[in-house]
Amino acid sequence: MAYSVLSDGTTKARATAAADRARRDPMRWVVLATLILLLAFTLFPFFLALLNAVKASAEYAVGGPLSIPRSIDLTAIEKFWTVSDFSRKLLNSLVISLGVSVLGVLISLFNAYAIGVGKVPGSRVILVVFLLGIMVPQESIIYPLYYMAKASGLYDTQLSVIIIFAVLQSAFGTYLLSTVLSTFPKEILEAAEMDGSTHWKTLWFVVVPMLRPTLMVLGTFFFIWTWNEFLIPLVMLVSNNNQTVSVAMGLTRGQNMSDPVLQASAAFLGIIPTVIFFLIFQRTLTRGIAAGAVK
Amino acid sequence: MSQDIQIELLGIEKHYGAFHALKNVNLSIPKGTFVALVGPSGCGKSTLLRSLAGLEKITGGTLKIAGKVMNDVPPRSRDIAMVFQSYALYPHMTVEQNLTYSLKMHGVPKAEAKQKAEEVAVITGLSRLLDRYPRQLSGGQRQRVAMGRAIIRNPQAFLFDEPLSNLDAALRVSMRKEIRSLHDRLGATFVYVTHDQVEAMTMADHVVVMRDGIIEQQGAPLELYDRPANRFVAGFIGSPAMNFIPAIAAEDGKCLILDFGAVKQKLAISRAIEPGRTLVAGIRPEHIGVVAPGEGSFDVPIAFVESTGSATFIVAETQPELTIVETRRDRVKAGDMIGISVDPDQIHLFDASTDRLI
Amino acid sequence: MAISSQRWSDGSRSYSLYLIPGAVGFILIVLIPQLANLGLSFTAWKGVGTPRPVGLQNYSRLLTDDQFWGSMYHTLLFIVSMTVIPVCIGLVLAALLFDYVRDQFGEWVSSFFRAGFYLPQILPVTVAGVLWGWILNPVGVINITLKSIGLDNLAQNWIGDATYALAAVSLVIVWIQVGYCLVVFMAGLSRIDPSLYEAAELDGANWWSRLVTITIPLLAPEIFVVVLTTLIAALKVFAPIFVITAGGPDNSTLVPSYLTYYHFFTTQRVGYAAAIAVVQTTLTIGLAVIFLRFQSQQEAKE
Repeated sequence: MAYSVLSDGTTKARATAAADRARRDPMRWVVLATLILLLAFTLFPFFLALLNAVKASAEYAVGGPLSIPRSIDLTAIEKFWTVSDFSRKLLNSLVISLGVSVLGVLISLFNAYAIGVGKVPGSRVILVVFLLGIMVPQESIIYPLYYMAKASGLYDTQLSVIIIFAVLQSAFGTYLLSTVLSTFPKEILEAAEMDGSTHWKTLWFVVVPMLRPTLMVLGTFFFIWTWNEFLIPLVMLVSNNNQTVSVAMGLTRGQNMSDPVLQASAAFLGIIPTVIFFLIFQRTLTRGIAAGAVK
Repeated sequence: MSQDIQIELLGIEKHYGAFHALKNVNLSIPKGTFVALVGPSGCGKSTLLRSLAGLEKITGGTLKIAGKVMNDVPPRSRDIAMVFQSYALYPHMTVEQNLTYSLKMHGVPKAEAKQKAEEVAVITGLSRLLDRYPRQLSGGQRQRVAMGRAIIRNPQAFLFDEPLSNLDAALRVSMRKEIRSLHDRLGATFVYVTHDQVEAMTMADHVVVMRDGIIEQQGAPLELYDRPANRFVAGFIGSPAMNFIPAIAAEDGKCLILDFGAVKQKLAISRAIEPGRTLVAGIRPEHIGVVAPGEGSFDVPIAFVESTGSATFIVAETQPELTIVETRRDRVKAGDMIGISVDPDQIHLFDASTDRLI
Repeated sequence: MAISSQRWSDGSRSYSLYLIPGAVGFILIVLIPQLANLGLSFTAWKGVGTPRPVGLQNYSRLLTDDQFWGSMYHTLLFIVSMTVIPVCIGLVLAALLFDYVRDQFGEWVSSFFRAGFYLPQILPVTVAGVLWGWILNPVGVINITLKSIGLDNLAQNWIGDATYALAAVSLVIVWIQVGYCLVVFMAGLSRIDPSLYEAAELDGANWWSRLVTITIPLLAPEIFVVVLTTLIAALKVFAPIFVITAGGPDNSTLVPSYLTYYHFFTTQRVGYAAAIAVVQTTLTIGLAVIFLRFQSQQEAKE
């Protein structure tokens, strides 16, 4: 029997042998059917949103939510887009998520450099404190933050949200990066020291280039998590102009949304950006995780 | 006028918490010498080297380089280059960038750095590899880049931390020659750490044998070979290792009674020893001659024989075993009896309790 | 010899400098607000003027607050939907996809299912809320579908009726959470030595017993992490409730997070809300500490 290694490392021989045995198992079709049903249940809402977002209201009234639209009617989508100033919301979310992504990674990097490489005394305590800090509910810090933002004039600004999330997310980032950096090849750092490199130069010329996949993964996580955040942007960004997609979505309940097609459009528009991100970032994420795994 | 002392170690102490890694180490290295630090694992040779580099901070003593005290000076200000055991090349930089990184750190203009890199590449045989990345190089090539990186800085001294231990045997032999000739060409001070005493013996001007944090003996290679100061050095230098046989000085003071357990043998020595003194006789395998039974000092049975074609290794079935090396083909086989003949001048005598040379 | 080299004392100092941005951020954004919130919980305050110290009054009021205890009870219920159910479904699905489906249908099919089940995770929770809010609407997809196939009597006001609201939100939560558990478990499964399964197969174990005797014990670390993270998330759950039911109807889906928000920004009973937040925080930290200690005990046993 020929052996070959599958992408996950198991040998093909096993798969072949198991498949040989399994092909005679009639149950597999039942299992597959069950799984397809479950998957359909999971994905149906997405599909429904898509289906009905491009439906004309009239068609919905006649055929209901499950009818397939005879033609693509984008009025509901356009309506929601303009009414909610969606392009503005998208921009806000983008700016904030990107800002947090960059700033959060920077803070995590600096912390991790001190802890993982510098082995600053008290590192373990610092890490535990950081972790506890983010585990607790945001409700326990939201009011003071609200008050501080108002007092410092940063209320209702994107900057306040960026700073807050950069700090909060960096707790996880610090933890992850310091674990990675603590296994950074010591001899390369020593060689850099011998070559005349200072801590700062070693960080930027040696460590960061070697860490790039991990930093990209971290930044991606930060971006996605921030995009999906709700409570803090809800409280800190009170004016329509500054709200994020997540907040805008959350507030649709309060608005008059009796038109089901409009509701579907709202959901649809909320879904699209995240699906796009998922597709774009999938490659980065899998590559980054693989690079980390190889180490 | 004494030679310029490049590196001076005075009473160096190093503690890792409770562990005493270096104990009152004193070493003076003249400029341009090739010094080998050799010893078994854990003897402190790497610690000493790293202390020289500044990668470890010494807990006691004085370290001077070119006459200046360097105890608290960080590595980058010591003007010393180091070649690491694992080469420690920057994986995301090309060979050329690896070479010029130190120049970049010292603000050398790009054009000048590039030119220097090309010069060094010629010296180290890397000229065609300047655009490659470390992952595209073989072990030997990476080693040269590591050396080139050190050379390009034109430092006062070069430190080598077991640079050849990751290479295969044939490559190791050729690299030994290259490193030695590099030393002769540059005329720089080389401090070379290895656990392989053959490397130390063949490459160094001055060999320092260490064990458990202290220097057991230092000197020219052949000095250590001919007159080892104690049993440890005697057994460490030279391969196969020296034979050690417990003995008592005979009543007439001119012979040894070798204690082979049940069997005792008499062996003449070349100097007078107080009768009855317990000691250990050390004889190198290459200094034991094989003669026909009865024609030597005593006879021994053979346990087994190994032949490499050019030399014959005979292990005698005695307690302790005797290893004999003959640089010719012997037609003896296991079970044969052979006669042992030893040149009395080649017998080393060590005190049984202190292990020191008598 | 694994002795870590000592750093230069000045080197260590210079590395410490790198902690400054993170430390400043942490103090400003986490430490001070936490302490401030704690302090606020001992006051009565309307958000303007000066807070008035009232000692433990807020906490004693909490003890008799029906809404509060209701929210706590609902949290317990949401733990079922946020932790228990997703973990169980996730385990079974992961074992199914990783073990059975991969054998029967190949790697690609397995990955396809995994990606599909994970999709709900990528949505912002609010979007998921809008989506399901639309579906669960009294004149929404479910009821219309039920009516169209003649099951009129099963159609309920899923969101507007206190009897069903919690279940409805729980459904949404399960829908969101399964993907997370699934992915983590499947990743964990890939580190289990396949020969263990083969040995079990040869011994005649079927898929279910392989799951119970091999998969679950060996996945203990992943299960532990997932349970801990989903538990903490359950304690903090906010967005789905805000978007779908706003805590109602009749406070039937009220949770502590929503209650705090409500008192902070609607009734402006800031001190009281702070007290609820403190209770939440204490519970979360306590839980995390207990679990982490339990985990290190388990690891020490091994």
